[in-house]
Amino acid sequence: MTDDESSKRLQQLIRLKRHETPPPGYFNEFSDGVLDRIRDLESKRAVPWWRRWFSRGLQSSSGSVPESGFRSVWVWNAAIGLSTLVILAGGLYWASLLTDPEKEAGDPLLQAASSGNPLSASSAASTVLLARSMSELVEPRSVQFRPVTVSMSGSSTELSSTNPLPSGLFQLPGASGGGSEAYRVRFGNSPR
Amino acid sequence: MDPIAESTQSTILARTAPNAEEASEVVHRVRRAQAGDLAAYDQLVNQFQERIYGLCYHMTSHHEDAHDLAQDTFVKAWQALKNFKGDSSFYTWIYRIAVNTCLNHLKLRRNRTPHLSLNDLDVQPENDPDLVALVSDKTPRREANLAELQRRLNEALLKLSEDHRSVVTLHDIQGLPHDQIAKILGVNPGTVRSRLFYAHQQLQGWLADWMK
Repeated sequence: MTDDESSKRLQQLIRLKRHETPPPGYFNEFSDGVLDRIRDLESKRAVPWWRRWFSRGLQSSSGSVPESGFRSVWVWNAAIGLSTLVILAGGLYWASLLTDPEKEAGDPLLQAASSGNPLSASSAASTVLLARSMSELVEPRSVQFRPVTVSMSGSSTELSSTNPLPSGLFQLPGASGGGSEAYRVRFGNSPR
Repeated sequence: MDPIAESTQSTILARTAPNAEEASEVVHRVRRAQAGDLAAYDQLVNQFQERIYGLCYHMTSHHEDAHDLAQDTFVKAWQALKNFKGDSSFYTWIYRIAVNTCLNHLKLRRNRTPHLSLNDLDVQPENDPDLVALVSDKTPRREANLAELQRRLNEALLKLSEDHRSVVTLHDIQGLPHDQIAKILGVNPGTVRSRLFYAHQQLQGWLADWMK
Protein backbone atom coordinates (compact mmCIF):
# COMPACT_ATOMS: atom_id res chain seq x y z
CA MET A 1 0.00 0.00 0.00
CA THR A 2 1.47 3.35 -1.03
CA ASP A 3 1.66 6.33 1.30
CA ASP A 4 -1.15 8.00 -0.56
CA GLU A 5 -3.37 4.94 -0.26
CA SER A 6 -2.64 4.44 3.40
CA SER A 7 -3.34 8.12 4.04
CA LYS A 8 -6.71 7.82 2.33
CA ARG A 9 -7.42 4.64 4.22
CA LEU A 10 -6.61 6.37 7.51
CA GLN A 11 -8.90 9.25 6.70
CA GLN A 12 -11.67 6.76 5.94
CA LEU A 13 -11.13 5.20 9.34
CA ILE A 14 -11.12 8.55 11.10
CA ARG A 15 -14.28 9.66 9.33
CA LEU A 16 -16.02 6.73 10.97
CA LYS A 17 -16.14 8.96 14.02
CA ARG A 18 -18.60 11.21 12.27
CA HIS A 19 -21.15 8.45 12.79
CA GLU A 20 -20.80 8.54 16.56
CA THR A 21 -23.93 10.34 17.60
CA PRO A 22 -25.34 11.28 21.00
CA PRO A 23 -28.58 9.70 22.25
CA PRO A 24 -31.72 10.57 20.25
CA GLY A 25 -33.29 13.86 21.27
CA TYR A 26 -30.11 14.89 23.06
CA PHE A 27 -29.95 18.30 21.40
CA ASN A 28 -33.62 19.09 22.07
CA GLU A 29 -32.84 20.18 25.59
CA PHE A 30 -29.21 21.16 25.21
CA SER A 31 -29.79 24.87 24.71
CA ASP A 32 -32.28 24.91 27.61
CA GLY A 33 -29.50 23.67 29.87
CA VAL A 34 -27.17 26.41 28.63
CA LEU A 35 -29.78 29.13 29.11
CA ASP A 36 -30.62 27.86 32.60
CA ARG A 37 -26.98 28.15 33.57
CA ILE A 38 -26.77 31.64 32.09
CA ARG A 39 -29.93 32.79 33.91
CA ASP A 40 -28.57 31.32 37.12
CA LEU A 41 -25.33 33.27 36.68
CA GLU A 42 -27.19 36.46 35.85
CA SER A 43 -29.43 36.16 38.90
CA LYS A 44 -26.42 35.51 41.12
CA ARG A 45 -24.76 38.59 39.70
CA ALA A 46 -27.86 40.64 40.54
CA VAL A 47 -27.80 39.55 44.21
CA PRO A 48 -25.55 41.66 46.49
CA TRP A 49 -22.32 40.00 47.48
CA TRP A 50 -23.18 39.85 51.19
CA ARG A 51 -26.42 37.98 50.51
CA ARG A 52 -24.58 35.43 48.39
CA TRP A 53 -22.02 35.14 51.15
CA PHE A 54 -24.59 34.43 53.81
CA SER A 55 -26.57 32.05 51.62
CA ARG A 56 -23.38 30.10 51.02
CA GLY A 57 -22.78 30.01 54.74
CA LEU A 58 -26.30 28.77 55.35
CA GLN A 59 -25.74 26.03 52.79
CA SER A 60 -22.57 24.93 54.53
CA SER A 61 -24.15 25.00 57.97
CA SER A 62 -27.09 22.92 56.74
CA GLY A 63 -24.64 20.26 55.56
CA SER A 64 -25.77 20.31 51.95
CA VAL A 65 -23.25 20.45 49.14
CA PRO A 66 -23.35 23.91 47.57
CA GLU A 67 -23.18 24.40 43.83
CA SER A 68 -19.76 25.92 44.15
CA GLY A 69 -18.43 22.82 45.90
CA PHE A 70 -16.85 22.02 49.23
CA ARG A 71 -13.81 24.16 48.67
CA SER A 72 -15.85 27.34 48.73
CA VAL A 73 -17.48 26.18 51.96
CA TRP A 74 -14.06 25.70 53.50
CA VAL A 75 -13.05 29.21 52.41
CA TRP A 76 -16.30 30.60 53.79
CA ASN A 77 -15.79 28.92 57.16
CA ALA A 78 -12.21 30.14 57.33
CA ALA A 79 -13.34 33.68 56.54
CA ILE A 80 -16.00 33.53 59.26
CA GLY A 81 -13.47 32.22 61.80
CA LEU A 82 -10.92 34.87 60.92
CA SER A 83 -13.48 37.67 61.14
CA THR A 84 -14.59 36.43 64.55
CA LEU A 85 -11.01 36.39 65.81
CA VAL A 86 -10.37 39.91 64.56
CA ILE A 87 -13.54 41.22 66.21
CA LEU A 88 -12.66 39.45 69.47
CA ALA A 89 -9.11 40.79 69.52
CA GLY A 90 -10.34 44.29 68.73
CA GLY A 91 -12.89 44.08 71.53
CA LEU A 92 -10.27 42.96 74.06
CA TYR A 93 -7.94 45.76 73.06
CA TRP A 94 -10.71 48.33 73.34
CA ALA A 95 -11.72 46.99 76.73
CA SER A 96 -8.14 47.29 78.00
CA LEU A 97 -8.11 50.96 77.01
CA LEU A 98 -11.31 51.68 78.88
CA THR A 99 -10.39 50.12 82.22
CA ASP A 100 -10.55 53.41 84.25
CA PRO A 101 -13.19 55.69 82.76
CA GLU A 102 -12.73 58.54 85.31
CA LYS A 103 -9.01 58.74 84.85
CA GLU A 104 -9.13 58.24 81.15
CA ALA A 105 -11.87 60.80 80.59
CA GLY A 106 -9.38 63.66 80.65
CA ASP A 107 -6.60 61.79 78.92
CA PRO A 108 -5.88 63.41 75.58
CA LEU A 109 -4.47 60.13 74.36
CA LEU A 110 -7.81 58.40 74.76
CA GLN A 111 -9.67 61.37 73.41
CA ALA A 112 -7.52 61.24 70.33
CA ALA A 113 -7.99 57.50 70.03
CA SER A 114 -11.72 57.79 70.38
CA SER A 115 -11.88 60.43 67.66
CA GLY A 116 -11.97 57.60 65.15
CA ASN A 117 -9.24 59.01 62.94
CA PRO A 118 -6.12 56.85 63.33
CA LEU A 119 -3.85 59.50 61.86
CA SER A 120 -4.96 62.24 64.20
CA ALA A 121 -4.90 59.79 67.12
CA SER A 122 -1.31 58.90 66.40
CA SER A 123 -0.29 62.52 65.92
CA ALA A 124 -2.05 63.63 69.11
CA ALA A 125 -0.48 60.82 71.07
CA SER A 126 3.02 61.83 70.01
CA THR A 127 2.34 65.47 70.86
CA VAL A 128 1.05 64.62 74.32
CA LEU A 129 3.98 62.35 75.09
CA LEU A 130 6.44 65.00 73.94
CA ALA A 131 4.77 67.65 76.08
CA ARG A 132 4.97 65.42 79.16
CA SER A 133 8.68 64.84 78.64
CA MET A 134 9.36 68.55 78.17
CA SER A 135 7.49 69.56 81.29
CA GLU A 136 9.59 67.15 83.33
CA LEU A 137 12.73 68.78 81.99
CA VAL A 138 11.59 72.34 82.49
CA GLU A 139 10.57 71.92 86.15
CA PRO A 140 13.86 71.41 88.04
CA ARG A 141 12.50 69.18 90.72
CA SER A 142 15.75 67.60 91.78
CA VAL A 143 18.39 69.66 90.03
CA GLN A 144 20.89 71.28 92.41
CA PHE A 145 23.69 73.70 91.74
CA ARG A 146 26.94 73.94 93.65
CA PRO A 147 27.24 77.06 95.88
CA VAL A 148 29.26 79.77 94.27
CA THR A 149 31.12 82.46 96.32
CA VAL A 150 31.09 85.87 94.77
CA SER A 151 33.34 88.61 96.27
CA MET A 152 33.20 92.37 95.79
CA SER A 153 36.29 94.49 96.03
CA GLY A 154 36.48 98.30 96.55
CA SER A 155 34.24 100.55 94.56
CA SER A 156 34.34 98.32 91.58
CA THR A 157 31.05 97.11 90.53
CA GLU A 158 32.68 94.16 88.92
CA LEU A 159 32.08 90.92 90.52
CA SER A 160 34.55 88.22 90.97
CA SER A 161 33.85 84.77 92.10
CA THR A 162 35.65 81.69 93.06
CA ASN A 163 34.33 80.22 89.88
CA PRO A 164 35.33 81.69 86.55
CA LEU A 165 32.14 83.54 85.79
CA PRO A 166 32.05 85.93 82.92
CA SER A 167 32.02 89.62 83.95
CA GLY A 168 28.81 91.58 83.67
CA LEU A 169 26.71 88.58 84.32
CA PHE A 170 25.62 89.72 87.75
CA GLN A 171 24.51 93.13 88.91
CA LEU A 172 24.07 92.72 92.66
CA PRO A 173 21.86 95.14 94.56
CA GLY A 174 23.83 97.72 96.70
CA ALA A 175 27.06 96.85 95.04
CA SER A 176 28.13 100.50 94.68
CA GLY A 177 29.33 100.81 98.35
CA GLY A 178 32.97 100.33 99.46
CA GLY A 179 34.50 97.50 101.44
CA SER A 180 34.87 93.97 100.66
CA GLU A 181 31.91 91.84 101.21
CA ALA A 182 31.46 88.33 100.43
CA TYR A 183 28.17 87.27 99.09
CA ARG A 184 27.05 83.81 98.88
CA VAL A 185 24.82 83.32 96.02
CA ARG A 186 22.78 80.33 95.83
CA PHE A 187 21.28 79.10 92.68
CA GLY A 188 18.35 76.88 92.47
CA ASN A 189 16.07 75.87 95.29
CA SER A 190 18.47 73.85 97.37
CA PRO A 191 18.11 74.31 101.16
CA ARG A 192 20.19 77.00 102.78
CA MET B 1 -12.98 11.98 -5.72
CA ASP B 2 -16.03 9.95 -6.73
CA PRO B 3 -19.44 11.72 -6.81
CA ILE B 4 -20.80 10.03 -3.68
CA ALA B 5 -17.72 10.89 -1.68
CA GLU B 6 -17.76 14.43 -2.99
CA SER B 7 -21.41 14.81 -2.06
CA THR B 8 -20.81 13.52 1.47
CA GLN B 9 -17.79 15.77 1.89
CA SER B 10 -19.68 18.84 0.69
CA THR B 11 -22.57 18.03 3.04
CA ILE B 12 -20.20 17.82 5.97
CA LEU B 13 -18.48 21.07 5.03
CA ALA B 14 -21.83 22.79 4.65
CA ARG B 15 -22.73 21.56 8.12
CA THR B 16 -19.52 22.88 9.63
CA ALA B 17 -18.76 26.13 7.81
CA PRO B 18 -21.61 28.63 7.56
CA ASN B 19 -22.37 30.06 4.14
CA ALA B 20 -22.73 33.81 3.42
CA GLU B 21 -26.44 33.97 4.26
CA GLU B 22 -25.95 32.01 7.43
CA ALA B 23 -22.98 34.19 8.31
CA SER B 24 -24.98 37.42 8.04
CA GLU B 25 -27.72 35.87 10.14
CA VAL B 26 -25.11 34.96 12.71
CA VAL B 27 -23.81 38.53 12.78
CA HIS B 28 -27.32 39.85 13.36
CA ARG B 29 -27.94 37.38 16.19
CA VAL B 30 -24.59 38.15 17.76
CA ARG B 31 -25.42 41.87 17.83
CA ARG B 32 -28.76 41.18 19.48
CA ALA B 33 -27.15 38.83 21.96
CA GLN B 34 -24.50 41.42 22.76
CA ALA B 35 -27.35 43.78 23.65
CA GLY B 36 -28.53 41.17 26.17
CA ASP B 37 -31.12 39.37 24.06
CA LEU B 38 -31.09 35.84 25.46
CA ALA B 39 -33.51 34.58 22.81
CA ALA B 40 -31.03 35.56 20.10
CA TYR B 41 -28.31 33.72 21.98
CA ASP B 42 -30.58 30.70 22.22
CA GLN B 43 -30.73 30.70 18.43
CA LEU B 44 -26.95 30.88 18.24
CA VAL B 45 -26.66 27.96 20.64
CA ASN B 46 -29.08 25.94 18.54
CA GLN B 47 -27.13 26.82 15.44
CA PHE B 48 -23.75 25.73 16.78
CA GLN B 49 -24.52 23.15 19.45
CA GLU B 50 -23.93 20.07 17.29
CA ARG B 51 -20.60 21.31 16.00
CA ILE B 52 -19.34 22.39 19.41
CA TYR B 53 -20.56 19.23 21.07
CA GLY B 54 -18.93 17.19 18.27
CA LEU B 55 -15.63 18.99 18.77
CA CYS B 56 -15.70 18.37 22.53
CA TYR B 57 -16.75 14.76 22.08
CA HIS B 58 -14.01 13.96 19.57
CA MET B 59 -11.44 15.69 21.74
CA THR B 60 -12.38 13.70 24.84
CA SER B 61 -14.07 10.51 23.54
CA HIS B 62 -16.38 10.91 26.50
CA HIS B 63 -20.05 11.78 26.12
CA GLU B 64 -20.66 13.25 29.60
CA ASP B 65 -17.47 15.30 29.53
CA ALA B 66 -18.35 16.55 26.07
CA HIS B 67 -21.78 17.60 27.33
CA ASP B 68 -20.30 19.61 30.19
CA LEU B 69 -17.55 21.11 28.04
CA ALA B 70 -19.96 22.15 25.30
CA GLN B 71 -22.21 23.81 27.87
CA ASP B 72 -19.20 25.49 29.49
CA THR B 73 -18.19 26.79 26.08
CA PHE B 74 -21.55 28.46 25.48
CA VAL B 75 -21.70 29.91 28.98
CA LYS B 76 -18.16 31.31 28.65
CA ALA B 77 -19.02 32.68 25.23
CA TRP B 78 -22.05 34.48 26.68
CA GLN B 79 -19.93 36.00 29.43
CA ALA B 80 -17.30 37.14 26.93
CA LEU B 81 -19.74 38.17 24.21
CA LYS B 82 -19.51 41.85 25.03
CA ASN B 83 -15.79 41.70 24.34
CA PHE B 84 -16.32 40.08 20.95
CA LYS B 85 -15.29 42.76 18.43
CA GLY B 86 -15.94 40.78 15.30
CA ASP B 87 -12.28 40.68 14.23
CA SER B 88 -12.84 37.03 13.38
CA SER B 89 -16.13 35.31 12.64
CA PHE B 90 -18.29 34.24 15.54
CA TYR B 91 -17.84 30.71 14.26
CA THR B 92 -14.04 30.89 14.60
CA TRP B 93 -14.33 32.71 17.91
CA ILE B 94 -16.58 30.17 19.59
CA TYR B 95 -14.54 27.30 18.18
CA ARG B 96 -11.48 28.86 19.79
CA ILE B 97 -13.27 29.01 23.13
CA ALA B 98 -14.33 25.39 22.74
CA VAL B 99 -10.83 24.19 21.86
CA ASN B 100 -9.30 26.05 24.81
CA THR B 101 -11.97 24.72 27.16
CA CYS B 102 -11.26 21.18 25.99
CA LEU B 103 -7.48 21.61 26.22
CA ASN B 104 -7.75 22.95 29.77
CA HIS B 105 -9.98 20.04 30.71
CA LEU B 106 -7.54 17.54 29.18
CA LYS B 107 -4.59 19.12 30.99
CA LEU B 108 -6.40 18.76 34.30
CA ARG B 109 -7.24 15.14 33.52
CA ARG B 110 -3.81 14.31 32.11
CA ASN B 111 -2.81 12.10 35.02
CA ARG B 112 -6.04 10.15 35.00
CA THR B 113 -6.51 6.96 33.01
CA PRO B 114 -8.69 7.86 30.04
CA HIS B 115 -12.13 6.37 30.31
CA LEU B 116 -14.13 6.06 27.12
CA SER B 117 -17.80 6.89 27.19
CA LEU B 118 -18.66 6.62 23.54
CA ASN B 119 -21.77 7.59 21.72
CA ASP B 120 -23.61 5.00 19.69
CA LEU B 121 -22.21 4.36 16.26
CA ASP B 122 -25.04 5.34 14.01
CA VAL B 123 -23.87 3.53 10.91
CA GLN B 124 -25.63 3.65 7.61
CA PRO B 125 -23.08 2.11 5.25
CA GLU B 126 -25.20 2.61 2.18
CA ASN B 127 -25.05 6.38 2.62
CA ASP B 128 -21.38 6.68 3.37
CA PRO B 129 -18.75 5.59 0.87
CA ASP B 130 -16.14 5.40 3.64
CA LEU B 131 -18.20 2.84 5.47
CA VAL B 132 -18.94 0.98 2.27
CA ALA B 133 -15.20 0.62 1.84
CA LEU B 134 -14.79 -0.58 5.39
CA VAL B 135 -17.46 -3.24 5.39
CA SER B 136 -17.64 -4.27 1.74
CA ASP B 137 -16.67 -7.69 0.41
CA LYS B 138 -13.35 -6.35 -0.76
CA THR B 139 -12.38 -5.27 2.73
CA PRO B 140 -9.95 -7.73 4.32
CA ARG B 141 -11.62 -7.28 7.72
CA ARG B 142 -15.09 -7.89 6.41
CA GLU B 143 -16.24 -9.39 9.63
CA ALA B 144 -14.74 -6.62 11.61
CA ASN B 145 -16.71 -5.54 14.55
CA LEU B 146 -17.40 -1.88 13.99
CA ALA B 147 -17.74 -1.33 17.70
CA GLU B 148 -14.25 -2.74 18.18
CA LEU B 149 -12.98 -0.49 15.42
CA GLN B 150 -14.66 2.46 17.09
CA ARG B 151 -13.00 1.65 20.40
CA ARG B 152 -9.56 1.19 18.83
CA LEU B 153 -9.94 4.39 16.88
CA ASN B 154 -10.85 6.39 19.95
CA GLU B 155 -8.02 4.87 21.96
CA ALA B 156 -5.59 5.77 19.19
CA LEU B 157 -6.88 9.34 19.08
CA LEU B 158 -6.51 9.66 22.84
CA LYS B 159 -2.87 8.57 22.52
CA LEU B 160 -2.16 11.62 20.37
CA SER B 161 -0.93 14.77 22.03
CA GLU B 162 -3.63 17.40 22.56
CA ASP B 163 -2.22 19.59 19.80
CA HIS B 164 -2.21 16.73 17.30
CA ARG B 165 -5.65 15.56 18.36
CA SER B 166 -7.01 19.06 17.87
CA VAL B 167 -5.93 19.25 14.24
CA VAL B 168 -7.10 15.71 13.46
CA THR B 169 -10.50 16.47 15.01
CA LEU B 170 -10.90 19.79 13.27
CA HIS B 171 -9.60 18.65 9.88
CA ASP B 172 -10.31 14.96 9.45
CA ILE B 173 -13.51 14.70 11.47
CA GLN B 174 -15.07 18.14 11.30
CA GLY B 175 -13.76 18.94 7.82
CA LEU B 176 -12.36 22.42 8.49
CA PRO B 177 -9.73 23.78 6.08
CA HIS B 178 -6.16 24.36 7.22
CA ASP B 179 -6.34 28.15 7.29
CA GLN B 180 -9.45 28.15 9.46
CA ILE B 181 -7.87 25.67 11.86
CA ALA B 182 -4.84 27.94 11.98
CA LYS B 183 -7.06 30.87 13.00
CA ILE B 184 -8.83 28.83 15.64
CA LEU B 185 -5.63 27.49 17.16
CA GLY B 186 -3.68 30.71 16.69
CA VAL B 187 -0.85 29.06 14.73
CA ASN B 188 0.46 29.18 11.14
CA PRO B 189 -1.23 27.05 8.47
CA GLY B 190 2.17 25.39 8.00
CA THR B 191 2.12 24.31 11.63
CA VAL B 192 -1.34 22.83 11.10
CA ARG B 193 -0.11 20.80 8.11
CA SER B 194 2.95 19.66 10.01
CA ARG B 195 0.91 18.55 13.02
CA LEU B 196 -1.52 16.76 10.76
CA PHE B 197 1.30 14.92 9.02
CA TYR B 198 2.85 13.66 12.25
CA ALA B 199 -0.52 12.77 13.72
CA HIS B 200 -1.32 10.68 10.64
CA GLN B 201 2.00 8.90 10.87
CA GLN B 202 1.35 7.98 14.49
CA LEU B 203 -2.20 6.86 13.82
CA GLN B 204 -1.11 4.71 10.90
CA GLY B 205 1.27 2.92 13.22
CA TRP B 206 -1.33 2.35 15.94
CA LEU B 207 -4.07 1.30 13.53
CA ALA B 208 -1.87 -0.86 11.32
CA ASP B 209 -4.28 -3.82 11.67
CA TRP B 210 -7.01 -1.79 10.09
CA MET B 211 -4.92 -0.29 7.35
CA LYS B 212 -4.72 -3.48 5.27
